[in-house]
Amino acid sequence: MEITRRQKDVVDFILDYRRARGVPPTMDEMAEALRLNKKTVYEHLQRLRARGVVTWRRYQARSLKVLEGTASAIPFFGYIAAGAPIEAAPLGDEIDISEMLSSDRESFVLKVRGNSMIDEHIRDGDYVIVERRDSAENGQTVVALLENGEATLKKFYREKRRIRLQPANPDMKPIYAKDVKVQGVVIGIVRKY
Amino acid sequence: MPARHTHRKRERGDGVRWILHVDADAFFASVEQVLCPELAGKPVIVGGDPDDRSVVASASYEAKAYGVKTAMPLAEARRLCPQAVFLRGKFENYRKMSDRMRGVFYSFTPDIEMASLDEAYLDLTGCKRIYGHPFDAADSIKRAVKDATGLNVSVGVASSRLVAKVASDYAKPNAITCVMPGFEAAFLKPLGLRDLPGVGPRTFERLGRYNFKTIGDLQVISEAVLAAALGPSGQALAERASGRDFSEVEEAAYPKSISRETTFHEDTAERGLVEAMLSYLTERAAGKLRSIGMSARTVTVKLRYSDFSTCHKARSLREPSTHDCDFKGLALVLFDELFTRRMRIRNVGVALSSLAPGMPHQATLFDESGFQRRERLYRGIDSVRERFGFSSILTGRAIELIRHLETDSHGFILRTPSLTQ
Repeated sequence: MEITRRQKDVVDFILDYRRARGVPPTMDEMAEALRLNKKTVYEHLQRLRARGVVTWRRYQARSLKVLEGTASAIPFFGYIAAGAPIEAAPLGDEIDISEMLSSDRESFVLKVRGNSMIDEHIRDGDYVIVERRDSAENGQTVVALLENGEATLKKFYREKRRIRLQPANPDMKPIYAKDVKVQGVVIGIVRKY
Repeated sequence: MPARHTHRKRERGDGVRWILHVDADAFFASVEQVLCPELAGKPVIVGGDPDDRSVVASASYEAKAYGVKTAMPLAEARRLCPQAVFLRGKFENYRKMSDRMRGVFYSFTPDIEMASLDEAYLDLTGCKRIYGHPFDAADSIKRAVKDATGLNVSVGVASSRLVAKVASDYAKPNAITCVMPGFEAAFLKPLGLRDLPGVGPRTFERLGRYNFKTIGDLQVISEAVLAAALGPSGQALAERASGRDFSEVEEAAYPKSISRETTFHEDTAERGLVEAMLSYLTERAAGKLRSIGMSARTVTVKLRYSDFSTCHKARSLREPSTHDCDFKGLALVLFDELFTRRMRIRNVGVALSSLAPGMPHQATLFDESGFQRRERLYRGIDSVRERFGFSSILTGRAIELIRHLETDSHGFILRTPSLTQ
């Protein structure tokens, strides 16, 4: 589901407001909080409704609903390198780290590039379902952010003074790092034929 | 039916149970595409002719792309996808393909359970040394099924039946989804409640009233609260939402129920016709019951009015029976109680349940009730039908149908041929 940044702000605001107050906001409240014209808020909502993101009942205040909760609700974020972290991938196919980090979704799906996890049955072209976590246990397959800002898919091992990111491929060498930001743990693998 | 594997598998190897759920994609429609290669890549809808009043039994993914869904009236399917090839389908072909799939599964493990014609559970616990990781085993099974039948399947790999089933559905069609052990709850969390087996339209609606939308919403609620909201089923639901399921993969020794149903060629309010159909369907179900050597105690009658509202009612006999007359009597009483609206009837069905093997009736020295005579009667009818087709003998009310329906060797030609067994 492609939505614009501003539309995302609108959806996020509805969700936050709902979480905080237990009811969805009115148009006026949204306009004020987002510093938009009421008409502009309404236009955003109309577009979102056309995309099936939100719905509401006519003439009824606070009837906004954000539609979610189906199997496809896990957002697909892009690609994750499972080889050398820097891989020759066509521009635009790289995983958008900033979006991945900013989202408050608890799990997301990445498409795997490279064969470094082959012994863990994760092949080039497979998808991994990742749960957002900032720590991992030894032996778990993680999405890790390296010091240079690259994201990679490896097995996680905490050693005495460093962290070893072990590829599951005998042909590849582990990556050692002091500071690794774990972004999430792989909870599932999907292979499409 | 092969021997049952009732032993409880010990956890071996990595200490994890590994269950596969294998589910054929758009089964009936795919079988038709395999048997008739010209149909490959085309929208195919199995259920009947487009001007039939029946519903879609199965639609190929090409047809689903137009919004055609299973159980949708055929007329609506035609509106959405007029260029689709509409087929009546043939149950025999589906059973053959199902048997072939079963053969493939059996070559991997004896621990299989065919949950229906097109889906099965396989227990691969402790098979790591033979087939490698279950994910690789799933890949081999998927290819083997494709080789043997030409069909695509989706496979779910997980530590329980429940999660494996959800997983096979997760990336359908033509995919394998593996859930890492220990992450069952995390996997289920973001999914919608309708994705959880056991949550039907009614439970879904009830949960919606409490604003539960995702499986994760249930995970944070205590079992006691769910039980208070939903009654006794609440606790089981809480278990399932967290991904806990310890049920075994076990081939059912016999079916739970036997049902037969049909949609009328034209909605009817003619009591005589509905009763005739009901007694015919009951006879067919009872014939099947005797052929597998079972007896039944409970009869359920289902009615669907022309506005698609459905109702059913069940009642049990005092003791199990195998005789048409017992079931028919009860079915007609139930129908009488159900048929209260002044509206025409679209669809009628009957189910026999509380099945048990054999006939527990105590034979008496003097046959006061006529039990032994009836026993001989039905044995006779069954053997005639076996030789000359089901419609070679019709009893009482079913005669009424002759005016309305054509017959073939299987009996009357009903509206759901894909399911006519």
